[in-house]
Parts: sequence; structure tokens; C-alpha cells
Amino acid sequence: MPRKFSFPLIIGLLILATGPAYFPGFTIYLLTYGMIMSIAALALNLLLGYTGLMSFGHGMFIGAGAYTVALMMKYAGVHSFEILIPLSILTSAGLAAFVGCFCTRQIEIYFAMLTLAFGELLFVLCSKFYGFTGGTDGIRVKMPTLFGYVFKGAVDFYYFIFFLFLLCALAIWVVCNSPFGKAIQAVRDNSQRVGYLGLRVMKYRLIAFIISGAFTGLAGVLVVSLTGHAVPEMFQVFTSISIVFMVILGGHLSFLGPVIGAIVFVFLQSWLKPLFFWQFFLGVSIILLVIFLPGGVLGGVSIWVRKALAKISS
Amino acid sequence: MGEKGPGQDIIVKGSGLAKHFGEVHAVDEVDLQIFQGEILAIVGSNGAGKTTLLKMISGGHSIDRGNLIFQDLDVSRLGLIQRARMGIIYSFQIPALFENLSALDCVRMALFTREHKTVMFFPTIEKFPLVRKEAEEILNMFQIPKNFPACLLPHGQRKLLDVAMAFALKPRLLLLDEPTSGVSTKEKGQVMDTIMPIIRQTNTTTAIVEHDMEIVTRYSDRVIVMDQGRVLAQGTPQEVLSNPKVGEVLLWR
Repeated sequence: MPRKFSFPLIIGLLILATGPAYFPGFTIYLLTYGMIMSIAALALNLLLGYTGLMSFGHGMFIGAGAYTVALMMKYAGVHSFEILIPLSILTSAGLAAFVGCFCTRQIEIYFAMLTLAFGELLFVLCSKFYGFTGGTDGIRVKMPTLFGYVFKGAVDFYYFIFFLFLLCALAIWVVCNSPFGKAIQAVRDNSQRVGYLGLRVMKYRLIAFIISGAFTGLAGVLVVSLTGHAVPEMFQVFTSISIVFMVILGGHLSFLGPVIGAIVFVFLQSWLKPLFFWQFFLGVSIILLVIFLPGGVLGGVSIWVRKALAKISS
Repeated sequence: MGEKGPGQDIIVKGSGLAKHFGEVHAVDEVDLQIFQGEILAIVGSNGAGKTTLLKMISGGHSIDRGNLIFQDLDVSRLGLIQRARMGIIYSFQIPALFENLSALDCVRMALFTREHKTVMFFPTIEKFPLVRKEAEEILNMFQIPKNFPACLLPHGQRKLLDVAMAFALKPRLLLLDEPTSGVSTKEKGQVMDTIMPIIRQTNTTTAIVEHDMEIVTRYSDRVIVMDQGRVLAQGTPQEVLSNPKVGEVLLWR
């Protein structure tokens, strides 16, 4: 990890690790949800921040992960994470490979619109195949077990999610800093030059899309396990835009920005939801954020801290 | 190796090369040979077809007519990526860098490409000390600071970094498109004095598109003069300079 993040990172991890000791139950629930969405936001940022591709369809992978769990439970009677997680990752990666074959030929707005279209397509399919998917009612999902262990409460599940969150964050960080990570950053910065080096740009975009989809699919498994209900709206644009918002909110220019963004978003959504026009306030906060904190919360805070330190030292 | 030229192997042989953009004949029936280890300069006025010819060799532009043989293989119908993998490497007139990566990472990226490691997802790049060492050596040779992001480097060093990235791929044929364009007169000499000894030491076969005749005469072994898409004259710099047709057409700059 970059040295400048190490102190705040340790504090953040300590808060997350010890949270259940002093936070109330609902805060624990929100933190669990925040960590799950952090996985999706980190995965999206692999595409947005590192590969330079804006996806408006990542909800489809949340939906794919969630419905793999729901359908496996309903039709195959599978209730264990050790089967459901790898299966959902495979399903999401497969979906990403299929969708990516069409989308990664395009860039910028065309890529964004294609991903959006695929997400909406899956939403409609899921809503209309009532007999199989439960239509707009969705499918109820029980909390899966882990190697026979039944989660006894929110704290148990919290630590399971905390562990997976750490594992995924570490895995995505390694990928971002690997030779492949540098290759996708090169594709982001100058795809023409990448071709002149002798690399196929589309291949790197596609692989990044598959990795991103697979991790987002895992987030889908965990979301549906937490909420207990798979619904077609998971595929839809609002889910996708929410993940984009988390990334922008935290800052897509830093690795940890999306984590901050996801947790802040989950709490913000929870506070604003009792208001009648909560989406209005969410919209206003996006506008303010883009105008005053273009680098996201993490980018803005680091600038303030740097300025404050400079003032103190002078 | 293929045919022998005057004391050397021919690495590239183009016959009847042509490229049209609509009605414009950018390159028209060009025959050329590039010998192993030589530095060939391609000169001509603006719009003479120099860059187009270079891009036709690299695969950046398709060849409309004619044949291009590279090391005994017909590469006329091969694409940019295949030719780059064969060792035909193009360096851009306007530096094409990975702007948000450091100079070190730009060169490391080229090295990972050469070593076929760009699909490795782990470990992190810092676990490749040999790649780092080689990248640092290349940056030292080209006198580029390693930790600056490419976007913050001054223009002269951006040009050098572009060439350094191409050089890191160990090209069999290096194509340099105006390595001194946009560089001040004073810096031109510095840029060329940095690039050319490296090319000479490594015996890298190179084709350079260049406007500055002083640079051409000082650094190249052979010169091709182009005019309106055709080869007007070729030979040693002295032969070309003494050709009256060349003087008429080029109005030396």
C-alpha cells in the first residue's frame, strides 16, 4: 500500500475490526452492506479508474451473483457459501466474457451505453420469466451456511464479510499493481501506443471487464445473503449508477477511494431515505461533489490535510 | 538472412509500395531497401509521404499496392501488432506516452511486453527486480528522470522517453518519426547526441524521418529523398547533397 495511506488505513481497519464491540446493530448492518458494496466499487474502479472504461451496467453482475444464489437455493437446494460463491463468480465472469465481447470493442459513451443496454435487457428478462425467476416479486433467500456453520447473528456475518472484503481488496490491489495492472493503465492512457508495442488493446479491456464482473458478482452473492431477497431491480440502472456514484464519491483516482465512497454512500442513503425526495438530495450531493471535490472525498480530504500540514509547518 | 547489399544483409525490401488517401497518392510506387545495422534517413518536404511510408513499414497504415519483405518474410498483409511482435517498432513524431505512469513504468511496460508478461496478474511489478534494473539502465542511457509522471516531463525528454520505450523492445528495425520535431534548435543536438550513440552501440537498424539536413548528414549512413510520394534520389548524404534535383525540390531547411 502507498505509504501516505498507511496511517489512515490502519485506523480505518481498526475501526472496522473492532466496530461490533461499540456500534449499534443497525450501524453494524450498514457497515456490512458498505463493505460488500466496497468490493463492487473496487471492482468497478478496476475498469473506470485503471482501464478508463465507464460501465453503466455493473448492476447486471450484482444481479447475476444474487440470482445464481437464489436459483441454486430454489431449484438445487444448495445453501452453502463454499459452493455458491465460486459458482456465482463463474456465472458473473461468464456473463462478463459474453457481454464484454460486444462492449469492449467500443469505448467512452458507446461502451457505457452498451453496458447499460445489457443491464436493462437482463432486468426485463428477469422480470418477465415469472415462472422461473419469480418475476418482479423476486426470490426469497435464506442466509447460506459456511462449511456447515450456521451464522448465528449479525456480528458473525459481519466478520465473514470483513474477511472477504480484505481478501478482495488485497487481490484487486495486487492485480492493479501487477504487470497486467500496468498494461490496463497503459491502455487507459494511450491505447494507440499499446497497439504499436504489439499488444491487443481489446484483449486487455476484455480481461479487465471479466475480472471486474467476477468481483462484482461476488458482491451480488453477499448482498442477497444480507438482504434475503433477490429482485430484478438488482440488474437495473439504479444499482449500476449507485456503484458509479460510490466510486466518484470516494475518488476514482486512488485505490481506496471507492471503499470510502461505498461506505459513505450506504450511510448517506440510509439517512436520506426517510425523506420523501431522497433521490433529490442524493442528486444535489452529486452535483456539489463534482463541483467542489472532483477528486472525491479521499482526494479532497488529502488536499485539505496537506494544506493544513503545510500551514502548521510554516 | 536475405539478399546481400553493398557489404551488408538486406533487412527490409519494399517494391512498388503505394498508399492512397482518396485522390491523394501519399506514397506512389516506392522501392526501398534497408540494410542490417544501417541508419537510413528519409527526407523530403511536408507532404512528401515520409511518415506515411514509415507507417506503412510499421503496419500503422495498410499497404494498398506492392510488397514489403522483412527478413525474408512477406509482411505486406500483416497488421501492426504482428509486425511489432516481429521487431518492427515505431516511435512517434508527437510523443505517445502513458501520461499518468512514471517514466520508469512507461519503460517497464515496454519491457513486460517484450518479456510476454503483460497478462500476469501477480505478483506486483516491484517483484521483478531485473525488469526494474533494466528499465533504470535504459532511462539512465537516455538521461530521463525515472520517477516523474510522463505528463510532467519537458518536451525534449518526452521525445527521448518515446524513443526509450521503443528501444526497450529490442527492435530489429527501429522507425523514428522526426525525433527532433518541436524541439528547440539547441535541444535538437542534445536529443540526437543522446539517441544516436545508443543506436550505434547496439547496432540497431534504424530508419529516421527528418527535416534537418544537418542532422541527416551528421548521423545517417544513407539517405532517401522523397517528393510527392515518390523516391527522388538516394545514396550517401554527400551524394544526395550534391544532386541538383534534390536541391531544386527540397529548398533545404
